[in-house]
Amino acid sequence: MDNHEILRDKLLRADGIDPSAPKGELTRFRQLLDGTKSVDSSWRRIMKTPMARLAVAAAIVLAVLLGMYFIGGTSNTTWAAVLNKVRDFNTCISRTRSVETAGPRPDGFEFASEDASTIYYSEQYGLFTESHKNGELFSRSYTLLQDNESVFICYPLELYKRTPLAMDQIQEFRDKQPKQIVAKILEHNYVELGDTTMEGKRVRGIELRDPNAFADEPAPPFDDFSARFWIDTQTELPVWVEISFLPNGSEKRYTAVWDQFQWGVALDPNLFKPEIPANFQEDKEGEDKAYRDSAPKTPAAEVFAANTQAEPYLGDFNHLRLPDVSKLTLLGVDVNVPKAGVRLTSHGQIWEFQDAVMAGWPPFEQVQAQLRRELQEKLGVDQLSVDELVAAGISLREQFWDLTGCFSGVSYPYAYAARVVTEMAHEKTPDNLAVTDQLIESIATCAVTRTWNEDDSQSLRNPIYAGLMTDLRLAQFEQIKSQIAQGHVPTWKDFVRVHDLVIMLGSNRRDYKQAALVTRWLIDQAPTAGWTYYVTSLKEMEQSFLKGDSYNSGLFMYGQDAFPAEYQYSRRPFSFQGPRQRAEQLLPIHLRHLRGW
Amino acid sequence: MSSEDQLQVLVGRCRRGERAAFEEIFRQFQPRLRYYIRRLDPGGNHVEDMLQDVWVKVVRRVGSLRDPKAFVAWLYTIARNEVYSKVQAKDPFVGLDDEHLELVTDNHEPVFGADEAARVHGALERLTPAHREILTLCFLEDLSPKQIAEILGIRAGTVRSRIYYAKQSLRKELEKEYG
Repeated sequence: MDNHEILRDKLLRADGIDPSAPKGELTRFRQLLDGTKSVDSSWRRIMKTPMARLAVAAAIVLAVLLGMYFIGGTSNTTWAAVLNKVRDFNTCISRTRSVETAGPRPDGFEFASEDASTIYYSEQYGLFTESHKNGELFSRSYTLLQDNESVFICYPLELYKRTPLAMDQIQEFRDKQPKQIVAKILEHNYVELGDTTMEGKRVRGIELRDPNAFADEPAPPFDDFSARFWIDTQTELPVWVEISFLPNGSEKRYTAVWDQFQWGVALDPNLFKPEIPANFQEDKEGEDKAYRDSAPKTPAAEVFAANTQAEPYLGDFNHLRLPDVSKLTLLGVDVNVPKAGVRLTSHGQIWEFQDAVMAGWPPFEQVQAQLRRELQEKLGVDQLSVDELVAAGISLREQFWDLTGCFSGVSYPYAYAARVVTEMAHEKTPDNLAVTDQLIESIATCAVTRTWNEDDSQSLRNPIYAGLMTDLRLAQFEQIKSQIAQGHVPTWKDFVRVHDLVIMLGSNRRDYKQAALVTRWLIDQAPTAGWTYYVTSLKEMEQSFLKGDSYNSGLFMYGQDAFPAEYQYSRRPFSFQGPRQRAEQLLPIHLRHLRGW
Repeated sequence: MSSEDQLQVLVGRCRRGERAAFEEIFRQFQPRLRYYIRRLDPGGNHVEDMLQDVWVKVVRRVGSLRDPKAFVAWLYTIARNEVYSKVQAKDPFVGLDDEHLELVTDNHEPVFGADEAARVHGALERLTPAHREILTLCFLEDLSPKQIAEILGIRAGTVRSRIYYAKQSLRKELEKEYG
């Protein structure tokens, strides 16, 4: 400690202040963290929660339109005339459509999520948003100013949620009132887009490119941001508003379009009175403290959390130099085939597409021997060490993913080859747990657990999961138990292995009795191993297995923006990592507090 | 890694919403903020409220802090604004006579050692609010004149002269104790 720090500490003590914040203060701060919405609250919600994005943006639309009145008043009488018509409206109905998409990608695929809603906005009552999907009512969401309450009803799930409106939420709603943020709009410049034709109407538009015109807080960095407003030159009323942005460093663009405006219409107050069907359940998610707070509570849990970060699953070979296999041709398959443009917007579409592609691949067993010969000729695999074989397997898997994995008719030789070389590594060292993990990853890369069918009972189960995959995890389980008997403290990787086994025993092998026994073992190990965070779900799993039912509980979390593209990696074990770029984004659930999830 | 670098990493983690990072920042700065706010609002009854409001703002707004290096100055600026909004006092630190005095460069700037801490603490109370605040910032944080200037809303040159004259005043106050 230098003189400056000593003087500082002594000054604090002279004032009766403990230089290290006392525990009681830290406890109060933790309570404050629990009750405080995180940083950039409105922006974060605009970008991350589709419903909130629409609700907040609805107010923005009004504000911007009114703002144009003042902007226009100084330079262009057309805008003044337009907005003179709408500035006193305190109600509005509009249709909203939003699209989140990262594509089309260079490989021709585009993953997109689409949403359509009708928004009823009232300065007096609040917001009511009704969303439909595929023509059917999906949800109704209410921000009820007079009742100080927000209500969300999800019809397909038959769930509802009531949440009191916090004072700052009410304040935020009021702050987003058009008249309050007009001044903000005035500070920003726009450019004229001129006249054009839209849906048969002559329209005139402007564009703003500064996101700071739209929120009280400084906007987070965007790689691109634009807001466009179009009016019908004949009626001088707004017909189209479009906001589109690409967050800094993100591949996913968000676009929302508002149209079908009805300004100043009388809104029936009953619209703002939620009617919750009697058979709907209240959504209690979030009340489970074990799930809400993942911060370690015991010394063993702290060690477990630290170990999870220090030794990620499948991370044992991260130090290896990977061979370049990008020029490697296998099974005579030409990878330079034209790429078709495909737009996929749901898990069903993604899985259906993958199933159709994979049905065109030859079975692994049919090409296994030929692949082995080619790999010996081209990579000399018979002479490679275990590490070199694993490195080749990782590299081959990456090549498979680079060729769009299960979306491609020509990628399979690389995933099959990865399986071949990691099988060779496993044969050389069958007791090496990390090598077995690599083999499981290689197999899962090109083998999904079941085909997709709306009616799950019609899905075809892949027998490799009930067979070889479960056997591999069972063998690891026996090894782990043996190591523990010799003093080994189980780690996150051990938990992943045994948890995978439990799921495979239940969902794939349907051996619920053994699944329950292994689950009990995990529960019993929890206090010393530190995986206490998972005990609640493990106990539920055990009960389910004892009743003869399967039960699924995951291991990793993905960012909310990961879907729907993330579905391409589904239908695999929970341990599955996929391409390295994806694996780096995965967050073990018990570390969710580290990212505020 | 220097403590400055460590703080930048910590602030970066806060910007990503990491709870543990927020707690570490709180551990480091809560005692110093308490001391600072008490110096700005001596005898005030709002210190706890102000501290809480400062942290609420930090948690909510740290994502909008573009340069993690600016964190310390940013934090004290929030605290300072909080004091003036709560006590509804006007910023008393403008238009001071010493700001217009030329800095005497050939005189030695008084130095205060850790062994004088208790006396320094007592003497701070007897200084003008402007001198008390600037010295408190100097003693609590190793800030550059530019950073202090950002917090106080004055020019960096003024910071240098104000620190010089504040230290002179503090030294005189300490000497008085020896009659």
